[in-house]
Amino acid sequence: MKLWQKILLISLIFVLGAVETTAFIVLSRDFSMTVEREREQGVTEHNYLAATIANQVVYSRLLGDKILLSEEEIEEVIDEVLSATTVSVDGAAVFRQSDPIRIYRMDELQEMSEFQREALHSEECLTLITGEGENTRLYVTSGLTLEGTAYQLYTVTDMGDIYRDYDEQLLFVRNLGMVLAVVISAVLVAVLFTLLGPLTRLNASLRQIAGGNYSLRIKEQGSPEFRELAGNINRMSESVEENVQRISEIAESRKRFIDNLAHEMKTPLTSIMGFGDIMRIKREMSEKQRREYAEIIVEDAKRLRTLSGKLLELATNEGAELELVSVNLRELFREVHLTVAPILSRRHMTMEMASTHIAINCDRELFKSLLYNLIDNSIKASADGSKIILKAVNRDNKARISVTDFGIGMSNEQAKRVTEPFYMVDKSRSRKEGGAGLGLSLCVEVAKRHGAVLEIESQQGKGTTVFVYIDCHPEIVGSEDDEIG
Amino acid sequence: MIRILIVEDDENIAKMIEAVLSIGGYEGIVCNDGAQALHKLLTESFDLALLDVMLPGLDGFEILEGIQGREVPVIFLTARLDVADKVRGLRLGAEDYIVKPFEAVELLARIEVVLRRVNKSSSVLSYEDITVDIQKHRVTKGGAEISLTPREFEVLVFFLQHVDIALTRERLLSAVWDYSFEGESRTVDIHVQQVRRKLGLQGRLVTIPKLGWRLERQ
Repeated sequence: MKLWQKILLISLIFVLGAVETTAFIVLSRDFSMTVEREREQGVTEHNYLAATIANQVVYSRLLGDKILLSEEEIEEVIDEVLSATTVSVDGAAVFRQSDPIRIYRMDELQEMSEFQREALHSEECLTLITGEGENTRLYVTSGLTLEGTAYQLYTVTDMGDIYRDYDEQLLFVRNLGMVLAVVISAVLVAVLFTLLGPLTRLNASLRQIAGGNYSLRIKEQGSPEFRELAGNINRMSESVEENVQRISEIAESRKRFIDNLAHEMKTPLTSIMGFGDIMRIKREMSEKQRREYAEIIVEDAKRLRTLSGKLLELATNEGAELELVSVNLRELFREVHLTVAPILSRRHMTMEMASTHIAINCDRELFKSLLYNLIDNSIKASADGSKIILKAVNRDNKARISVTDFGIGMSNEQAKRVTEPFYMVDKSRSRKEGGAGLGLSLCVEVAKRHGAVLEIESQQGKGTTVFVYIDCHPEIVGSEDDEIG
Repeated sequence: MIRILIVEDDENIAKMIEAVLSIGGYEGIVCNDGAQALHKLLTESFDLALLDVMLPGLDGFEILEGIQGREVPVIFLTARLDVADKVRGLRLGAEDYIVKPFEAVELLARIEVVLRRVNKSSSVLSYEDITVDIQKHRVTKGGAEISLTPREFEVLVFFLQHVDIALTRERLLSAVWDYSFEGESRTVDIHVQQVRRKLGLQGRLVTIPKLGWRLERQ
């Protein structure tokens, strides 16, 4: 059963129950008071009748100038009184001892032996209400002593009217209840639909959100509860949307990575396998050809080795714990210089180093590999005899390390994509240099793990500068620049 | 001579394909840029094009779209085995789809199939005094007809198509018995022996230990 149906049903039952019960209690109270009044009225009239008979007996005796009236005369008087039209009761009977002597319109009296027996022994006025509904009668009896003889007077009053009225009133209340039920139902349904209307709207929107439309936002309107609910749903779908987007971005970048990896692995593999197969199946081959093919095979195998090495570096970088120590950048620069010196001299290049005494918190080996990769890229982009500048300055407690070359540079588009795994600005050139396209991705990863940020500024034909921003260690913070390389 | 355009951006792979094609007796012309390849395909005439999918400039699919209507059969070479890509390539009219890395003979065999389909390869093969008419399914040696079973016939044809090239058992299996063959590989040996015996190829259809067989030109 739906909520609105439940609310409607429960409200209806309570309202109607309350109205009907109240009406019934009021009616019953009123009715019992009416019955009581009627009973008193009956008794009064009974007493009046008894007094009338007694008076008439006295009057007859005085009129007849007798000392006592005989029983026959008394009966005559009773007869006279009871048959008079002034009698306001609906029936009357007079008994002497237990014998009826006069009965007027009191046929039911025979069936009331219990009441009669009780009345015989009672001095007081007794009443009895008997019958049901319209047949309800009030019986009143009392003893009556006339000329020394004990008589018993019975009167009956019809109480059907008040029962009829009562039944009519009950019927009226029931009908009123039904009319009320219809009116209340209509009003309740209208109210409920107005109140629960926002719920239907919320439900429809939720169904859409559940169906995958995470960008849907619900209007926050209606009563405060619904406004809050809509607000919460909006916040929920917002975070779901964000997560879905993040996850799909991750999945997308992972897929791109795998695709590129497959391509980068299969390319050297294809030439290795092809040339190997040619050497295997060909019947005759010149020594020149054999050497050429073997050289290509070795070259491409080296490419694969570089690739697997970089991949391994990426993987271990992700998993390894950082050993954070305070490192003086001057010392670090000197160490890196030692590593790259052979490559520099082979290309007849020089590296200028400028650093204040800045200390940073980093994993020495990892951070060295980051600088090495950046310098390696710079060397690859430079012409023979060119120079590279490695510099560090302190800016608001952040070290800014920069690697600058004056090589071929990149377009804006290329600079944006250059940190993507496997992206190579010049594929064939990069391959000749033995690049795998993973160097800068590796740098970004290392920087990220140090809480550092990488920025690339490049101009085509002019050169490139890569900035690394990393928090300074507070211990050694110098201010004056001095040349060290 | 049959001219085949090699569109491949990796220098070494291009060189390798060129070498494989020369073994098969084809002329390979290398092109390592998409736009240039499209231009070449539209202006020159080639019997077949081997297209790499991932190319700088135009990719393989774009080139294929660009030469719709030109009757150049195309085989795709790709590093990715992607069903969607494969369907896309074949729907655009590519004849075949080869996934890198591949063996030299596999490439030659697939090229052979495509060339035969478009009637570019000769239907008559000859070796010394042996003549094979592929369409008529007839083999003659010194003018006398020799009867071969269908499998033996195909084995012979495969050897004649790859003279002086060592053929492995696996290669023969996939070429003659199709890739789905799951029987004993001894079957191949028996068929090769039968072909050698029936055509008197002793000393020329030689067994190369641990590799396979080679039909050698004297």
